[in-house]
Amino acid sequence: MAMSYDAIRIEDYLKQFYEQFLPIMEEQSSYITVDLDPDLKAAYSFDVIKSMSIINNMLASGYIGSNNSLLTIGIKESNRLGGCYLDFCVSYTGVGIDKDKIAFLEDRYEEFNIEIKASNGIGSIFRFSMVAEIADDNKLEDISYIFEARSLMNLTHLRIKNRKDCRLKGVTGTEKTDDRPILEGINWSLGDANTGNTDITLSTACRFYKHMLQSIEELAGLYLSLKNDDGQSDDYNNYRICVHGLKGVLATFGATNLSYLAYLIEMASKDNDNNRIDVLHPIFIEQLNLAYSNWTPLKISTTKTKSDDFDSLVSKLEQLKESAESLDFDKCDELLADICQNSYGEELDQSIEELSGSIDMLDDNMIINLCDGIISVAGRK
Amino acid sequence: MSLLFNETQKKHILFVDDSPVLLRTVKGFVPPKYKVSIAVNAEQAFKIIDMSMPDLIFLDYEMPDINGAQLFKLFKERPDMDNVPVIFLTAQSSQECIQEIMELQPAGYILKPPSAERINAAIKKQLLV
Repeated sequence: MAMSYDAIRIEDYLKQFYEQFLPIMEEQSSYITVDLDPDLKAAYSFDVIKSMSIINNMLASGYIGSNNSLLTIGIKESNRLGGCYLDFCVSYTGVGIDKDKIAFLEDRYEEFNIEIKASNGIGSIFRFSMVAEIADDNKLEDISYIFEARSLMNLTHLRIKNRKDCRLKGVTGTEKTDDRPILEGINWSLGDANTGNTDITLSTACRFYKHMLQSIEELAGLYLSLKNDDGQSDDYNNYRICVHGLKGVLATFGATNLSYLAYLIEMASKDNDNNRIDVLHPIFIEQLNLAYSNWTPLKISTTKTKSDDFDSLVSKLEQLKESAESLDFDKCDELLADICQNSYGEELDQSIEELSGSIDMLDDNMIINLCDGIISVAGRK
Repeated sequence: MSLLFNETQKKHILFVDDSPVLLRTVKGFVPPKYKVSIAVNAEQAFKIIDMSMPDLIFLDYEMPDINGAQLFKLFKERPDMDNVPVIFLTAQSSQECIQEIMELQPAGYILKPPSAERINAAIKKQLLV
């Protein structure tokens, strides 16, 4: 793609940036503050559209990791790469930051009428940077993209104290209300930003919740294999992929804190770093269990009618088996919903519950086996 | 002009990801005018492909057993799949990972968690529908 260079003052660039992002920030209740190097030159010449697009991506990634949607864009000249570079950096300030940055951030957030509170805990310094070498005439060349994450213990966390009252300067926001339960650790708005639909966000969370204990058990088992086998590369890989999967789903419905913790473990397992895994894994398991007990409103309960129409049950199970064979999971869902309206006695209900689990997991082989088993029992009734 | 599409006229989109929860979520993003199939592993993906060739595939890059890159290569080894565009879904935003993905020359990639907006924009772009 051809580069289109424009000479632009950084202040004007930021103005353009804010014009573009203020509506998004308002909608997502997110806050972006700017850490601008006072020694920057008046103007630089660079591809404004491309850089804006990269910063947009960095911010999008930043939202995933930030537990309070507090992000900082830093723009400064840097010599750290052995030349003279301009560094556009997006940092997560809601997860963990250096202590010496607190006073600065307090001032910055005060401008937006946000009061913050610092506390200690596990976190990380997390930066996305776009760096560009400064050539003659302040032209920025060779734009490249850097991602840095340093997991550290005892970092300082920032929390918004007056979240409900705070508004961005000059913007009148409206609180979005819905009938979903307020659950600790789930930011429905962030989930909605991903799914684009409140119903999908909620159903994703409910589906995750249904199998949450199973996921915790699986992760604990993979961790044990890691320890027992003295850390073979396959074990690290299996453990990492399991954590990676959890991270993705948690982020999808807005459980960003847990998703971020999963991210830290994923990075540690990618580095085969046992020490970091040993510290983070028990915390993750504990936090998942805590979330499981806090998120009970996500449990779906249904009222069933007692039935002894076993012929109809067998017929539906035959259809369900056929649907699984052709991988038509929509049809499986539909037939299961129909079956689950009735209760067929403790033994069969338990097997149907298992069948429900295998349909949720899209495990076609298990669905077929379970259908055969239930058909055999129901056929004898 | 009828606005109804029957199943055979519908463009077919296949999502492959090892997370069933995520698959069901992204399936919900796609308007009903498309036929959507989901697969949690390579075996299911090929079974679906053999039953009905997709017009577009969204493929998770990080999967156990056969990962996204390996599966992509298997797709491209099949002459009948040569023209089927594949878009990777990945949670890895590092330059190194994006470079690895782009070297495979897919139709594109989307960072996870994928938003409905991005998925639908990619569908429109690839299928021009």
